[in-house]
Amino acid sequence: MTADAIGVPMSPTMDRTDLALELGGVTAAYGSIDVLHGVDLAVPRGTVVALLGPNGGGKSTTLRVVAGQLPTTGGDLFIAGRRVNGAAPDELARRGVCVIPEGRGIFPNLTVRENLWMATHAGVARKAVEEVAYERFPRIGERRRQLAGTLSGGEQQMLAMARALATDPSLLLLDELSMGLAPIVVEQLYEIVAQVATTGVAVLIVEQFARAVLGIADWAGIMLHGRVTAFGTPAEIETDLSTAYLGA
Amino acid sequence: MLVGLGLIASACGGSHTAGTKGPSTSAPAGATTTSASAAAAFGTLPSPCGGGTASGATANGVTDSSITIGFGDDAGYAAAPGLDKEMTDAMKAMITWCNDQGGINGRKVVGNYYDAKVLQVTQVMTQACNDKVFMLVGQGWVLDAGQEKIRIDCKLSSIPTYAVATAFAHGPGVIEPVPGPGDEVPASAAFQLAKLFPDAVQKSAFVFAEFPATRETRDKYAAAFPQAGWKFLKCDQIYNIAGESDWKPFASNLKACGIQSVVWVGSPNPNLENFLAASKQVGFAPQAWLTDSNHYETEFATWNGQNASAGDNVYVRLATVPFELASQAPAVQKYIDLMNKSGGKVALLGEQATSAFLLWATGVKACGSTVTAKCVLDSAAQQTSWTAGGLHTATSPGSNDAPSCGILLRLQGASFVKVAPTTGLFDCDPRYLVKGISTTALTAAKLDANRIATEFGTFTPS
Amino acid sequence: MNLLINGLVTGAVFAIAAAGLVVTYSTSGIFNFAHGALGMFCAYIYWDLRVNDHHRWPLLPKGHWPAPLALGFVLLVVAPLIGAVIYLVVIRGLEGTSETVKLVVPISVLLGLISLANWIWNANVPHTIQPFFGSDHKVTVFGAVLLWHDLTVLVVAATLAVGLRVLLYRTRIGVSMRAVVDDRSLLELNGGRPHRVSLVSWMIGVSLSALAGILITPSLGGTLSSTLLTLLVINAFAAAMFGRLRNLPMTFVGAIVLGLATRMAFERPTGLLPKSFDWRGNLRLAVPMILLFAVLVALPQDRLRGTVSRARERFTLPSLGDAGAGAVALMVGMFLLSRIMAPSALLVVSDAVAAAVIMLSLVLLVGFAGEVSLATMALAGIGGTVFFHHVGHNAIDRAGWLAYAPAIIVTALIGAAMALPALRLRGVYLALATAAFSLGVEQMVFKEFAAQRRIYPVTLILLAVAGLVAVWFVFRARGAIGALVASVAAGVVFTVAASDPWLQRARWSPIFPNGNLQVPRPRLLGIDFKPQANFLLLLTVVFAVLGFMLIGLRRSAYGRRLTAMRNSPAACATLGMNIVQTKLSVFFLSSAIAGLGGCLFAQEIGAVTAGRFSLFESMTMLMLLVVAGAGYVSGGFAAGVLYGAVFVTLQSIFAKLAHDYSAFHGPLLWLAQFTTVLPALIGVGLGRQPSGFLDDAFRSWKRLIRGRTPVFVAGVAVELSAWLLAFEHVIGNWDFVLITAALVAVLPRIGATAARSPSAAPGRARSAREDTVPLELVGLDRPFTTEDLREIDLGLGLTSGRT
Repeated sequence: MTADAIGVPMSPTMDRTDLALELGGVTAAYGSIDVLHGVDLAVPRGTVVALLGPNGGGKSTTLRVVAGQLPTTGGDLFIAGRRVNGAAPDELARRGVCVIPEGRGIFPNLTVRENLWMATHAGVARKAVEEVAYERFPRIGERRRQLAGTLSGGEQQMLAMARALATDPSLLLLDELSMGLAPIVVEQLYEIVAQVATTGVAVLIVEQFARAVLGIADWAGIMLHGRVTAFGTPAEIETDLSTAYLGA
Repeated sequence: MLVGLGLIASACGGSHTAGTKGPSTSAPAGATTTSASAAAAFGTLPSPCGGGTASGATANGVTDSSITIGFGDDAGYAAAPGLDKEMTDAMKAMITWCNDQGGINGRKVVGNYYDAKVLQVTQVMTQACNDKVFMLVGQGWVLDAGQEKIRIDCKLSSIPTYAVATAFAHGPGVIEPVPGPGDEVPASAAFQLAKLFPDAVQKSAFVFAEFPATRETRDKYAAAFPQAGWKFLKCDQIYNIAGESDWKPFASNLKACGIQSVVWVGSPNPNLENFLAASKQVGFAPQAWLTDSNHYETEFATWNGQNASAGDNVYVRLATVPFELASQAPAVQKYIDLMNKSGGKVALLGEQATSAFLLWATGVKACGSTVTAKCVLDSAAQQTSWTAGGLHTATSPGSNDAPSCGILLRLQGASFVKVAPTTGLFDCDPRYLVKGISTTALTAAKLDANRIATEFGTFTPS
Repeated sequence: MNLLINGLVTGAVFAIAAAGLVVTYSTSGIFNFAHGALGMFCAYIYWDLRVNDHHRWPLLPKGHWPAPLALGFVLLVVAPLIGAVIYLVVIRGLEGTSETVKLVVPISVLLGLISLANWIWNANVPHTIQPFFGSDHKVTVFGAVLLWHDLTVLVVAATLAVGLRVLLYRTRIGVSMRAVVDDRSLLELNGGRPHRVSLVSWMIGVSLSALAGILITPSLGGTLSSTLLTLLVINAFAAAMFGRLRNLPMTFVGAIVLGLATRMAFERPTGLLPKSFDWRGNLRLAVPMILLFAVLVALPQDRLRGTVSRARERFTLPSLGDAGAGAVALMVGMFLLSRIMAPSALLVVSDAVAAAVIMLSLVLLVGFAGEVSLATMALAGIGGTVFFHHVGHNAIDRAGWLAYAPAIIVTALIGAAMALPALRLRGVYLALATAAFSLGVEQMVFKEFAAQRRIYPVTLILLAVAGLVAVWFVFRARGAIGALVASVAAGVVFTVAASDPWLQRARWSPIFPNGNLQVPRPRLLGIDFKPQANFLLLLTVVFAVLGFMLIGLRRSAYGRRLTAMRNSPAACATLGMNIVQTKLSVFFLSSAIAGLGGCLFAQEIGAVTAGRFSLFESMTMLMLLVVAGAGYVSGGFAAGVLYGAVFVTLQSIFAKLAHDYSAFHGPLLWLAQFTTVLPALIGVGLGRQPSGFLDDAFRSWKRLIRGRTPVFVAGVAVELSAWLLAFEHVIGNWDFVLITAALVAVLPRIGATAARSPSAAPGRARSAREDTVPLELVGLDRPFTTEDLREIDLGLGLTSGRT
């Protein structure tokens, strides 16, 4: 089992379906240029896994593959124990995979309310979505008729998170959540992420800025040259980090 | 737009007309004429075709056994497929009819078809020149202004169905069966209407398309019609030949001017039809709309029938015998029969093409063995009272004068009704032909003393 | 008051027409040029069902359908079906393509629909739609007489405004439609299905077009024509621009304003309807275009999208040596061909090459600079017209070198003047602005005037103003010294113009006397170019030289600026590049070429009518060029051949065959008709191959020629011997054409297989070499070799490309 291979401790009662996400030797390419050269990764339920590494290592690409936006050229992709190579993004979304892509996952020209409405495509009722969102993030509740593109960066990210929460996903993928945000906002957001994980949601976070996320991650991995080159607890990884960022 | 031009074009001067299906003639078996028994005559014209022993390659396209001519239309025009194909239908049928009798003095007639698709006149004229056809007979191309330079350079003579450009209508080596010269106006309808509505014609206005050909026609009418007693108020309406998004303002303007009669220069489909609809809506109802022969179309009549007779006061000038009166003119019936037999379209331009062919064939016959363009043209020029066996009023191709006779039709419901003359087939009067008109196109054509255009050079047919 | 009511009705008409347009644009990002044509097409179908007893549609009952049934069927079944087909077959393939392709494909649909309509419904027969409730039911509102139909139009417009608002803001599908254009992939991540959403929006859009077409036709008089709604659509576009293509309420407001304006332009007392035939009459017809142009220029545009559009097109660029060789090969080849061609073939090929010269202006503008223009033929027409007037007709001896100069300069200036207000427009907006310009020129310039004033004083004033503006620009760019030089130059130009005898004598004579220009061929260097073969060679030489110069231009620094501007204007702006200057200069140059091309084209046709320079011709040219490959000079040649020769010849062949073989008359005639729709079909297929069909062909031919393989040499030998045989009349011309066609199609394939075989000529650099290390890990997983370094240099463009 790849979980073994990368050192995620599995108790005897756990099996494959306890892994919300599993990648086994996944390769992917943009046209003729190979980007992922065999990625092994596992995200158990209810845990937060951080994927770190310098730019160009393949972190975002991995997310895109998991989201269904980029097809694999080899290897296996399992979500909740089921092989999902080649599934379309909307299918995955309806199955409980929620992705917040890089650069805010919001529709800038729709209002906050309309943005939340779009989340209902995943199969949740509109009322439920709005309730959860406004309860969790009162600030966006105040601005529900405002165009999402005019919100501040932090509020936009909150809106994206609200969508994530409201659709009750089983797997949450976050791409560079901290991009362009003030540190205190980043802290708040990651706290929410940690809370989300306690409700049983598996979270995979891609981040360039390690410090922010290592505080809440259960596991962390470093991606270099399209492969996961190190995996372990945040403490173990911290030492590898400097070599990873500066040495390769 | 160019469809409209094609239909208008023929209206410049002579009785050029477009499309009508004749009365629905379902030929009962016995009445089908076989080629043998039809041979002898075309209406009142003895057939110019028959056997013989002519020989000699006396000109381009002439051999011992055949004469090759060119004809054509604009049927390949993408925006209006089949435009004016009735001329070609007529030419093909007439060639077959003639060859069935043995050709002309024993020489069979071979026809080359040239489709100018409106925009390719220079190409087809070049092709015809290169093919060295004897003459162009019964052709009609909407933008024939473009052909003249080439035609004159290669010295190709012609007896066309119609001529649009003034330079061509007066061209060297050209004779029209029903002439439409640029310096004359056949104004029979103007006189006839003036007689019928003496007061209405005192308050008249032009409605014409913003296009050189229509503008020129309007100028010609403006110069000629006052001689019939028409008085034009300063209320001309000029519309976009490609169509207007709203015709009501024009109709309102005419109404405001108190216009009682309208001279319309344009084509029926779709512009006049839309104008009539708009006039009805604003309540503009002149006593008469005067239009030219190209409005004699079954489609127009059908439209009128379907549209609450919005066009019931439209009057049309004709110099050919309308199909409704085929019983009074055996030649017309013959033409209809030939078309029905060959599956061709029955329409006025087809009649005119038939007349062109007959004029040409008569000339060829008279030339015997030595068939040359000069001989044929000279022979045709001697026709001073040419009716093509009774297809149309007597014309004088040689003197290049427009007809001084005319019929006035009125659109009523879904059909055309003859209004003038009340007795006899044609109403004739020398006053009906107004001469000495001058226009910019005429000036540009640089007519010499013999009223031959020299704008593009000249040649003497040989 | 009358004016107001009628203006409201007119405005309501425009609003309905504009609504569908805004819906499709704001939900798919594609500007549906074919909007009016779709409405027209559906109106014809409605006519078939409602009025025609003997329609030829299978499966549908014949006879007069009752109006509600016919209406419902067309609006709820036929139109959405057509919309679905268009989306699935055409629009969906446009994802990731450049703005140009996104423009050209709907234009192709437009042209195709017009051809199709002409084919299906005979234009010589009237097709009339009665107003709803008949033409007798009238009502008088504040003194204006309105039909019940007009009231219906008003009611429908109002309902539409409300209904669309509700759809787009209160329903999930409507909000999804807006979301799709905001961020398509995000909608997917949300679980939505963007394709389904876009499909629905197109179905609604076409349904709205159909509604507009059916409602509006009776208001226009009732009788359909295939180009009917084109006029209307200009106003619809202008109204849509008011709302900047996404704001429906503003669109409606804009429509009302335009309706009132158009009405005021028409009617007394403010009206422009002239009493006599002069330029004011033309102006009235040009009002919609002027309004559209003004709206485009005046209203603020969308902010520049900063992200680079990752377009799927790629154009390879030949080296100067290759370009030169190509030019020489073209000239030699054309010379040889002209020796064996029949005169009618000569004519057709000359048409093609003349069109190709005009195409070069688009190659520069669209292919190199990434701009767009639908005014090419209008500018060409201006060139031809100026040439004609300068030379006078029949004066064949006066048509020398210098005769071309005024035409080129005037056209260039006019082109730049057109571009100046439109400089910050891009994509769709620029296309519309140039279209408006083209229509305006058609209406106002290619006509006859009756006024006879002298043009001398006006021209001098214009020149003076132009000179001052130019000096000002130069001053801004280069400082005082430059301005001084520019002033001297301007002064010289002014003096020369002022003393030109022709200018002093000239009057506003009719620009198109009797509707056509007889343009004489030139006599240059003692050679008379009246004979077709000579003129063909002149055309070829001009094309070859111009093409070579264009490639040189592209390879220069100026060319790189153009490419940069094409890829990302935002980035250029941040680099400090003067976009305004560059854009203006490229329009100037492109218009100059168009002007020259226009002269040659007019000389080629001989007797040229205004219809040759219409907007539809410009659209067809653009479409064919993009299909052939806008970034290639040879693309320009191929497009010229398509435009001037291929379709026309195909149609003639089929028509002639239909004529000769009356047994097959029906099918052959059908084929002849089909060729009129063919260009549009090809344009529609652009989605599959956005770089044009020539791209693949070029690559394979390039490989062939580069390799200098025995195969290529053999091919050349075969071709030359075929030519010799044709020259000596041993084989016919058609056989020669077939042999050439076979060679062109087959050689690259033979060459490719030959290269792959082990006996391939040595020195061919990149044979299929097995390499287990992926490209991006070369240097990491294994060390670099000199071969690798050469490849990298190649990729970075650091060598000329020769191996």
